Amino acid sequence: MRRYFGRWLAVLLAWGFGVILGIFPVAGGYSFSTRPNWSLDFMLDLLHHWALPFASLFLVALGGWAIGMRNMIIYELESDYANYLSALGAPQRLIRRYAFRNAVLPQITGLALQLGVLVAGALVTEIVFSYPGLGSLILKAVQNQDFFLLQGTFLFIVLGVLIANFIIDIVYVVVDPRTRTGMAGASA
Amino acid sequence: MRKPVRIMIPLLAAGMLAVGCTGGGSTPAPQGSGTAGAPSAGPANPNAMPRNETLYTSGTQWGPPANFNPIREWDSATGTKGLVYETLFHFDPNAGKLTPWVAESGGWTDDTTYELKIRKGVKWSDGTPFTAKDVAFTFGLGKMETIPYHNVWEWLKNVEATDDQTVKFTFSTANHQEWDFNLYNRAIVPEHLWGKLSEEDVLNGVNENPVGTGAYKFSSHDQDRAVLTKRDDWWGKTVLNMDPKPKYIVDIVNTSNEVAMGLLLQKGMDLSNNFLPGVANLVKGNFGLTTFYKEPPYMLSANTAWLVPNTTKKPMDDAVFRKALATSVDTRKIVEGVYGNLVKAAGPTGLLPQWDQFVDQNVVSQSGFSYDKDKAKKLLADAGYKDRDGDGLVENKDGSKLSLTLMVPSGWTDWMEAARSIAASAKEAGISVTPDFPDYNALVEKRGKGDFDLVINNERQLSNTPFTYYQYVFQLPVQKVQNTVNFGRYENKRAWELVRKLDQVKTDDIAGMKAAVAEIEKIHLEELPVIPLWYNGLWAQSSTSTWKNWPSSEQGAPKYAPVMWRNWLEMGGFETLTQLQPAAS
Repeated sequence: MRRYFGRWLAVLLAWGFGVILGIFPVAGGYSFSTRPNWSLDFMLDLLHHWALPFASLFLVALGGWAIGMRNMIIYELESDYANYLSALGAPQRLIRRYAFRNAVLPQITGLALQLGVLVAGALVTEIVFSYPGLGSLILKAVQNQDFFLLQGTFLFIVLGVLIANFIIDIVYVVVDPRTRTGMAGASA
Repeated sequence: MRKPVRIMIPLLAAGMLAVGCTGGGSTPAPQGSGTAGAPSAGPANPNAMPRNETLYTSGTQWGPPANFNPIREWDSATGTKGLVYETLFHFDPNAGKLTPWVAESGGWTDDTTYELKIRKGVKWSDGTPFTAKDVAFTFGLGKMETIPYHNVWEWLKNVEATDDQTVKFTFSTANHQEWDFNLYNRAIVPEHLWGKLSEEDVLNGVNENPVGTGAYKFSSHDQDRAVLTKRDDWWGKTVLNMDPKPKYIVDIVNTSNEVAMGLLLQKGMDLSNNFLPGVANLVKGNFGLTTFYKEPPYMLSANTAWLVPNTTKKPMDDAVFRKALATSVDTRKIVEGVYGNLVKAAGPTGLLPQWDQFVDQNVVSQSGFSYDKDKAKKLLADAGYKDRDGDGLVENKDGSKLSLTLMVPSGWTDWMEAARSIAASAKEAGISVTPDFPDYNALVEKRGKGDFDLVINNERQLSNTPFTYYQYVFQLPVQKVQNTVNFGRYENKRAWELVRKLDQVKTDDIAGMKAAVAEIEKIHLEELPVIPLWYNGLWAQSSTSTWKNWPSSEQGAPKYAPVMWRNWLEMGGFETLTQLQPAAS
């Protein structure tokens, strides 16, 4: 469902910002008049082409994440430690700050899991914007029965997901004090 | 103090990993600039192409540029043949004449000898002079069985460069029509580079650094484009007095026709050879787009779409049934309903409008067909196809159920709609036809093996002679797998004999050609091994924002075919480039 909506939104964005207003490109990963090189112009050009596809994915996904966060925060605000804090007369802002730090943890895990889907699942967006990404590469490999290319892209996706998960694991140390305590030898 | 240090270790690791990660992620970039940088012999800033010197095209490549091998006429990058490599002659479909290109002249010295003079002063892009030896070598490559023009050697006996400017071809049978076709279709390759290649490399090599005689050379390519840069030292500038105007040509790989449409409207594309449904509205609506004609059918015709029945299956082996089927199809509905008048309904012979002079009106009025539901019903009833179970659909002669499947590749939306339309009108006449949309590759396999009832096909383009058209229809013998011609496996020795006779008629003997074609037409219309439906358009939408003077039917405008498709650059595509003018001036 989300994908269909994403495609619809992508088409609207391409039409509105690309064709009607003409401020964003409608196709390609970088301008058809340039060649890849290490210059600021090229980097800006990349960002320029990246903006609309990103927006179409981001706007659609944003709602889901926001609802997820809302549920978490409600759950945390009703938990014992929040009630205890408010019984002690702590200000609401302080309670919310504690709740946020706890509520964001499952979101980070969710993000790690989502990364794999993101790489392969951006196919529709890539087609609408004619964006040369892994998704459209996979599609072409399937259509041409190019199994080696398929294996190669999957290898990259697997590596990407593993590396991303590893980074998230490390980020956990920063955002969740309990893991730090565990590392120092104490039990949570 | 101990604790922070411990935290720092994983953080440091993460940092290093992130650095490693970005390094890894961006490896394609230096690679890309590597390919771009290698042949950078051009502008001050090699990385940018000014808009007013660049022509953006699309509609030819549907996947990343696969190779730059001119022998692979079917999947090489846009412009490999025509812009980078050149042919001996070009063909002008309007005049119906060959124009000398890298050849200066050519002619038959006796019944079986053809002598070709090539131009002086033509150079390969690496500086080596182009000689008659290259021509002899290129045709000699055809002796390899896998080369697409291998069959030339069934009637070509010998090819020899008698001096640097002369090539002598000796034939066992002089197939004039086919020979002319070869003269403007075969890209000449340099012997000094290709002579070292193995057979595998000749046919399947990528040819990463193409060296041609043409006006352009490839300067870079990527997953979604191929970029050509003009050669300043092209021989044709002085010899032919021709100058293709765009300094750069960027051919964009299609992902979908919608993207092509978006780019056109954004003025980011100059020439789109895509099929864009509804383009009629855009042409009328003042969006700065032009097509060849201002009114229907908007496009020139490029090929004929046929309904091909499998003549080895019952009841399609019966000519009367095929005729009834042909009479039952309402092509007007397809032309108007499916295509919105972007195509033309085909005449009964299916010969393209450019071949109009070869259509014998007597034969057509005698044996032609047109949409007539009642006549189709009558034909069926008279031949013994009757509705026995009262469902409104006829049965086979022996009373068994008659149900045909019409295969069209999945995703080809216009053809899918056309198939539905054909099924509906056949049903009205009492023939049960069900559309089926398999995957393209699956369809090709089934079609080759003869495992189908009906298919739609259009794999014969306009050419210098109706011979290629009838070769498609009648070629014998029928092989186990039919890959390119006669998918319907129709066998008619007399017809094939006539087609071969047409092949041997001299190309300047128009009356002789007409007489030969008329006989074949008669058999075609009586037997209908393929049923002509409509003339597929030479899809060409051009934007006038950067380049003007596009070919059109208007007075004073060039009349060439504005198209970058493979094998069309020799038929007006290149000439179109020479006629363009910057819109600003």
